[in-house]
Amino acid sequence: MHKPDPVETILARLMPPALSEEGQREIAAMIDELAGEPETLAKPMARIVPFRRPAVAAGIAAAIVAAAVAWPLVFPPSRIPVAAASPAPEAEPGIFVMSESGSIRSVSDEGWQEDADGSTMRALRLDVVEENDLFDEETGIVMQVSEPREEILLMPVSAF
Amino acid sequence: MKESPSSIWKQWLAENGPRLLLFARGWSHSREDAEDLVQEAILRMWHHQEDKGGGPPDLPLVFSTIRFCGLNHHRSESRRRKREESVIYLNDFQDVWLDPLLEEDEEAMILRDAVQNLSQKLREVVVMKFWGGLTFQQISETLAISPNTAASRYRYALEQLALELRRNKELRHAQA
Repeated sequence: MHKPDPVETILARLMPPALSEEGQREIAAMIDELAGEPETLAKPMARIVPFRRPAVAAGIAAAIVAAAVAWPLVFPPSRIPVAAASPAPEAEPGIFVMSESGSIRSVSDEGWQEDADGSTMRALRLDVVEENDLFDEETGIVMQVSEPREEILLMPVSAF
Repeated sequence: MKESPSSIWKQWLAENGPRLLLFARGWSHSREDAEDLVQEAILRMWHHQEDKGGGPPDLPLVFSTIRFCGLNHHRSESRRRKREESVIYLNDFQDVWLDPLLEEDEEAMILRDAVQNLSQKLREVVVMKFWGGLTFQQISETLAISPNTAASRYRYALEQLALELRRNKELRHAQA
């Protein structure tokens, strides 16, 4: 029989932590959705993954709007197939997130601030730009959604 | 009464979630990213299993999928990460991969850090073998290496951990 190595004995006193409540909830919701979904709609990934980053969700919504606006420009009315011309994308079928990227364009120090608990925090103002490439399976259009935003990052001040 | 697929999968997740999360930590920069990786792998697994009866997959396959997803993310987001790291890691919260069963377990704490600091190749094998409960044969299939290589990586990792433990103890003893 395999005699445990002394290191293994110590490793046995370490356990991986459970998924966070939020993580478990999201995966459970995804499983529920997958289980209740008709097979024909089960494939598109972007529809069923509950993205944690609000920017992505907002990006998808913006992409749908962008697709609707760009549609007549890409396909002049005379060339639009009848089926495609109908306003179908209510269920946003087949929009995939091809890539997500984001960058911090600038960081500026805003000095010290107090948070809700009265703790002293150092505030940093970040200019962030999120860029998402989306692919509409139905039309073949690739859209880039760019979302600049400002964030304030509060960091605990542990030493003076 | 027959259980619904979703309750079977959730039960499977409750049982295996922590070990999948631990493995995913090796491919992500934060706990949240690791959870997203687990979620993505489960989504892929769900579709993969549809043609195979719809039940939860075998663990080696899930480890393999997490690794694949992790590689993809790493490739596409490495540049973004580099920029973000400089800001995110200014925070001083504690973000650890493993929890000791007992508080103040000095040896366990040393090994916890040592496991995190192992090279990717060694750490993957240790995590899959020790906390994932996989055999060397299963690990070899997951990583596309021979079972002998998997076993020797595991032994080498244990040696490294033992060395780190000894070195840390001597250091603390010298300081005391």
